[in-house]
Amino acid sequence: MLRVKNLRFTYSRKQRPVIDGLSTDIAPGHIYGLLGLNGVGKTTLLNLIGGLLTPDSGIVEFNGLDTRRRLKATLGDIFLVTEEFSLPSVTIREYARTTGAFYPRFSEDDMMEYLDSFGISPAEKINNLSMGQQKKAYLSFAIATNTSLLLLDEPTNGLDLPGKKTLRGLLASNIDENRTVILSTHQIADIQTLIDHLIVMRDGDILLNASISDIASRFRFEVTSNPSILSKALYRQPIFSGNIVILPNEEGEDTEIDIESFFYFCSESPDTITRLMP
Amino acid sequence: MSSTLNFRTLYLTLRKDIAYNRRKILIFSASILSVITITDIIFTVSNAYAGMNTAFEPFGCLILLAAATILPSLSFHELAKKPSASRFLTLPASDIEKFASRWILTVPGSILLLITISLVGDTLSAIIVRLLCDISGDIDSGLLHYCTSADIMTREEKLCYIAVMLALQSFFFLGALLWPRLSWAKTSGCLMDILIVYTIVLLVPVLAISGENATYPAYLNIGLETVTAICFCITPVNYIISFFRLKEAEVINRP
Repeated sequence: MLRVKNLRFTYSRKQRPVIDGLSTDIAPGHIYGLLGLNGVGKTTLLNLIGGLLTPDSGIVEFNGLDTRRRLKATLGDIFLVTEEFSLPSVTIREYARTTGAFYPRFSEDDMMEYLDSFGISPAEKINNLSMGQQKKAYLSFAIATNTSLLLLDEPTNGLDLPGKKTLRGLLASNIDENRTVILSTHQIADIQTLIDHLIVMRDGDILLNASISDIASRFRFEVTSNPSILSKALYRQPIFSGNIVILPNEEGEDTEIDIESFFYFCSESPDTITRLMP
Repeated sequence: MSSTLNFRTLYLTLRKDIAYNRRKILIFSASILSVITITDIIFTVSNAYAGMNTAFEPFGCLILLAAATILPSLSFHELAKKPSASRFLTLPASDIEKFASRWILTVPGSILLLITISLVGDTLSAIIVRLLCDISGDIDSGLLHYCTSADIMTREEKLCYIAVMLALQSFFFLGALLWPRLSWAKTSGCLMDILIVYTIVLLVPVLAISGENATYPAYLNIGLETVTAICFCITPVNYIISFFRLKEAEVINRP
């Protein structure tokens, strides 16, 4: 279980806090999508969870341990894939053997299988690969560590379409009741079918932390041009074939959630979200 | 805090650090070997023509001192950039294991490496000098011999040299954590500033008061034994400060 309590973080005393009084619980066994505007603190939050930054106040606890203490037990059970990454100038196989040894549940066989899915040879020297290929190798390693908490910051950046599909497949097949994945991304379409929980950040705090099924039970998503429906919409966005609308789900209908539109709705009407999803 | 030491994890950390920095270590070794060999040849030839049978003047020991500070200043080069800092800080090893691994490689490791390079350099230069100039350049007249021979340095001088080297390494190791970017330059600059301040604070008043007939007061005559003792005391203090600095390290460089 990941617990964030009253977290506050400022990069410099002259700036306003990037994270301000953030508290949330993140339960295991789910894939969370972390969304927010540029500069809202998504990467900062992931770095704080990973123990890479010292909060001004508050605490991040993973399985009861403060992640900032960077204890071996915590570090061996959390893996953070950063948006910009740096890998050593060795072969992928050597990287797997030297760094994998630090993770108690790392599986070299799994990693080789994931590399094969991505079409990358483990004998390749990392420096000789393109950035996209390095990202695939890095993601293969990350998933193969089998850590209980996997943090991914813009994981689909730099991946080709087959790579994104492979990543979705690997993440979906590797989640279990003991594992948590938090994906921070602006590429909502890449994760639309993968996540089962949504976290939306705003003004240095969590605006929403809810399951997709909970959101779908409270809101109805339609594409329509019907004026009477449009007049009741909580949110509407014109598209070529009409309007994407979000309505209260008074009758408990089952509609497919449009995460991108819902995110825009959260950004434009945060008070409505807070009122409807306390 | 993360302060446990497990020898297996320490071994894994050392193995990883050597594997990932092989190229840098080779480039460093080749560069120092070139400098020592070329300088050895130049001084052997010029001293031979001047009738002296030694390869080096005190300048040679300065080369070793400078070289001994370079690897410690690179101890935590990963912290200079966010991506590599993230990889280093999130490695599942305790702070003391990461610290110990880097200390072993860059302090005693660099001394052993420099001794080996010096021996190879002295041998190479002796062979080259004999082949090219028909001068009997001996290995025994090389840099390492110059720094270790009783004919050239007294026991007190050798001990002082070792103490200064260890203290300098500790300063540059600490500097690697305080200033991950351009660490060697910034640490050198800081030490120069300290020396300048020392000079201004202690010497200028004496000269101002005593004028042209200034003589150094006794307290300014710092003997070798005092320098040695100060250096041996400063060294562990610098490493303790370094360790606590590592525990505080973040993915961004905050003062």
